[in-house]
Amino acid sequence: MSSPAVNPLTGRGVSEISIPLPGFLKDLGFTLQGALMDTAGAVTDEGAVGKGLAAFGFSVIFGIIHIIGPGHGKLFTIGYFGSRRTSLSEGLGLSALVNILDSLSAFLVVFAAYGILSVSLRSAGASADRITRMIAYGAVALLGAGHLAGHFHGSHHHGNHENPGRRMKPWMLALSVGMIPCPVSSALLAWGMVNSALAFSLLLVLGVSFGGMIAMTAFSFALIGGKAGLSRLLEKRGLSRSLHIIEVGAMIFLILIGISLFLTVL
Amino acid sequence: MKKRVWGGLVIGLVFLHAPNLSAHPHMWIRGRLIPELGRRGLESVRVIWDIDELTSSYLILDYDTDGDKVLSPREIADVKTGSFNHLVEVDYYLFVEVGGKMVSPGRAGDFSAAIEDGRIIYEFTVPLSKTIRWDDLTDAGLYLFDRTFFIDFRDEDMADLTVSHGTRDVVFRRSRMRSSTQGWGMVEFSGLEAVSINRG
Repeated sequence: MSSPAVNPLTGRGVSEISIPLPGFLKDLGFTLQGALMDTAGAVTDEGAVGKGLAAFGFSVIFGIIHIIGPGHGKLFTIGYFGSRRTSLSEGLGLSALVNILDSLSAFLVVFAAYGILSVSLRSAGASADRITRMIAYGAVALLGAGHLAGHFHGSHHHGNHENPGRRMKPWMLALSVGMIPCPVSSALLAWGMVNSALAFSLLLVLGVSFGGMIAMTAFSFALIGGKAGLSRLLEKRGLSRSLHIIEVGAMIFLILIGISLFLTVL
Repeated sequence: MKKRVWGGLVIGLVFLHAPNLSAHPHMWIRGRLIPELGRRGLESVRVIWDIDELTSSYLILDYDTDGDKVLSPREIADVKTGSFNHLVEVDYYLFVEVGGKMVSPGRAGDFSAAIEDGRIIYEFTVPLSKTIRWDDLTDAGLYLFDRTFFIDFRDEDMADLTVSHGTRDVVFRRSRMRSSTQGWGMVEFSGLEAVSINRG
């Protein structure tokens, strides 16, 4: 029997589309979180400052594993980099921005909920998560549609090139995806407040973001490289039209994912 | 050749980076079950949840209002109202089966919550809607499992144990099950099975 997923802390339903996870990720996440909390606890409880470096290291690895798992706009990234030619520096920029922004977003939610409004972080976090997801997915779908329109408009007027005015820039995608607060960053900040170690928890959030950036950059580079290789191969064989179809298909994929995720959050 | 390597890398990463709304599990709970016997058989289960430290931070922040790292009776009552009572809708993630048939849990009672080493511990008793009689007990299994995989119930604290009632000693042994989640693949989870009843 299938029942909707419920956040046990709030009793509210959580929307989702799911996909099987590699088994090792499930256990690794638990093990890493334990190691991170043990070393972080040694810093705050015992004053073992030297373990701060180990905690930071664990937070970086935890960030990598967290990003390797589902989420963080990787599906959008596939659609985006599949739909256009881009440079590695754009991939790096997108990865960095997504990870900085989702941690910043988590910080703002925690700051607003706890520091300004004095409301429950559990409830505020759940609401912020839902609202930002709706905005993010809606924005991606709209930007994607604009990009696609620009693509056809550009093809019509300027040969096989996109209309740069309507092109979806990497920062637009990063801004859309990155506004969804990173749950790990939010939880680390909550931990920092409980243990009167907010500054230290910010360092751990930085580590998680850095780890996330490493994983996301590797992912982006692989996509960009793969796409470039495919483009060269198809052009060499005189199959430019096939390349065009792939790019349009990737953008339609991105738009459809945006719409379907938006609908699941409603 | 180079392109094949790139292609393989892309496909591998696409599979690894399973796209989704948000990562699961969101929280880990070390679960422990203590069967409670009555005159006619297994009547209820005492359940202990040891919630991971990051998730616990949210609860502590919300409910330990005086920040003394100890939950007062009033704070426990708030935890119960705000973050426990609704769990009846998901049967407290407790799966009780006898010979392949499910026994539905009732509403939990005797709830307590505490903070230990930065983690929140829930303890509660779940009565069974139907007592599992002595004759059926060795076909019974008790498990903690969230099919939506929002929670990953860990089995580090689940242990073999013997529970006595009157002249009967029932030996429960830790057992593992494997089941599909709602879209997150197969997971293994643990529980207890009654393996023998010794009459004194």
